[in-house]
Amino acid sequence: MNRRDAFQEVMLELMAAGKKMVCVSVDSASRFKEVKARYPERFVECGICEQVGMSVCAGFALQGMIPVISGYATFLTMRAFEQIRTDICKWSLNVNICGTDTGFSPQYSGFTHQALEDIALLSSLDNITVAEACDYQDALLMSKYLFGEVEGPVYLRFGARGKEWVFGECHQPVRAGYFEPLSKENFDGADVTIIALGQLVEVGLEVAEVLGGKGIKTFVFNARFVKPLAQKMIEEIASGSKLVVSIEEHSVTGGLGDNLLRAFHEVGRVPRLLKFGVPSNFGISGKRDYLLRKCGLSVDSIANRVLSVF
Amino acid sequence: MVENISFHEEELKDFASRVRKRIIKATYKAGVSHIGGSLSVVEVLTCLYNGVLNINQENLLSRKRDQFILSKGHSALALYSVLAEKGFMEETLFEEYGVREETILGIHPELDVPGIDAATGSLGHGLAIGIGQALAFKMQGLDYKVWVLTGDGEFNEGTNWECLPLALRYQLDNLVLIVDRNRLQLSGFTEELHPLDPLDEKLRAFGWSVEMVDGHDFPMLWKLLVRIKEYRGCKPTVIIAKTVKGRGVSELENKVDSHYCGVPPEVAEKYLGVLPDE
Repeated sequence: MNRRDAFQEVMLELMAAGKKMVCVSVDSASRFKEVKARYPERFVECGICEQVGMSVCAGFALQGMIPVISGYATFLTMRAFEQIRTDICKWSLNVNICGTDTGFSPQYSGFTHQALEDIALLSSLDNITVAEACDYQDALLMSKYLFGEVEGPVYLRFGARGKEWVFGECHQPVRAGYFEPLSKENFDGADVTIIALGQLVEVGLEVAEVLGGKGIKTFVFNARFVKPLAQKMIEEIASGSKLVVSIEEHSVTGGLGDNLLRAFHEVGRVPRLLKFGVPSNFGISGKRDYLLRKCGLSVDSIANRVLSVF
Repeated sequence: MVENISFHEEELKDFASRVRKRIIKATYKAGVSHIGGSLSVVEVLTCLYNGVLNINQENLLSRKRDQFILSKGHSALALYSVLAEKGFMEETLFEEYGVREETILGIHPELDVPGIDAATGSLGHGLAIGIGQALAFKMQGLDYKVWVLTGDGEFNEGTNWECLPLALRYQLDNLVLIVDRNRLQLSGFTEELHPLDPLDEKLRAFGWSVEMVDGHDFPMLWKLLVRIKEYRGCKPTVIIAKTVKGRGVSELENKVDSHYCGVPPEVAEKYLGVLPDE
């Protein structure tokens, strides 16, 4: 099972419960295989037409259906950006956008296919929820919450080629705008607070182990949300951390780190922050693991950098 | 399904005349509007809102009725005028057009305005939104139609062409596209800018059912629209409505500048009888 299967499973569950879900494919039917097999009448193929697919979703939502559109994140968020902004977000329409192959996941497909600015683009829009799950189990919880409970536009980001391992016994329930504490049940302050997004949560946990070995008190969050960010949580992290570290498989411009910085600024307390991400929005053809290392997103690079400033 | 759709040419003509006067008056008061493309769609909108669409005061705010999308959103003044003339829009709201410091009644229609089914203004979005609605009606087993009105210049936008195979594939007989073929767009004549002819042959090649009609001829227009309203089959329909930009104001007819301009006092007085208060 991988995280991309999770949203399909959640769709099946919600459809069985009577929710008016509909799949909108842009030559991306593989993401909806099971739903299409069981509910062929709830599957619409728009062809390689992301803009049209997005407006079709708006039309569905206007009529009370709950569309889920999925495809390469880079094409959905950039080619159809205006449709997301003008047809969907302005009116808070109930449209779920599942962007796949984010970050370096497309590997040798290179910069055309690697979505490294999708968060920057969509988090600039009002009314939308921007989120990424850290593994398969988390993706199930997040999809269920976002599709089933959030009324309004949702962007759920899916990387690939990372580990689909499960944390401890089970994830904590999803709370709107709240990061998931992984170190303990609740945040109670730390020397270094690590907030990692999606596939790089695994890296964040390993960094914490290295730092812990050096006697540094760490706390790790699975970010889950980039937008919205709960004000209370932001205040607690800002006042309880000597150093905050953000880690994401996205450009350092406009991603989780920048959204965090803005949130800290808004609550009037900006802690020291180290942003770890990809230095450019333009990716490179290559193996994902290599590209992460090249961009300073390996456990050693991050840990060394943190140690050098702490 | 078919209700209240008898043809009364004089009533339609009177209605259209009142709508034109509203457009001229509002443009005069605002100082400027997209008057040319508003005047070219008056007869089409008059037919749609006087029996072709199953829209009335009771179901105005419901989604369970025929839907109308003005994809050429810049002609919203024509639609506002029709809504006001039908009594669907408060006169006080209509009076806000182009004069109030802040208003929901913008140049382009927004969903906050009662009776507006889709927010448009960015060209090339309306048809795809309409396809989503038409597909939803099919999934929900609702026998309503979605009518989308685009400009001909708007067909420069590639999204319209992407929509053609999609609507055909899903046999959307509940989708009707009307192209306001006034042969002008913002900066010139369509054929000189981004040629569209032969539009009918192109659309037919995409498998759609294609109709051509004089967009200002009430008997022909009405007959066609009622026939399409009753059509059930397997094809989406496109109506190419041959129109004149600026229709009804001879000073503006078929002029490039009529896309977005004002109405001088002498012209306003000529068509309204009296000069409106500013």
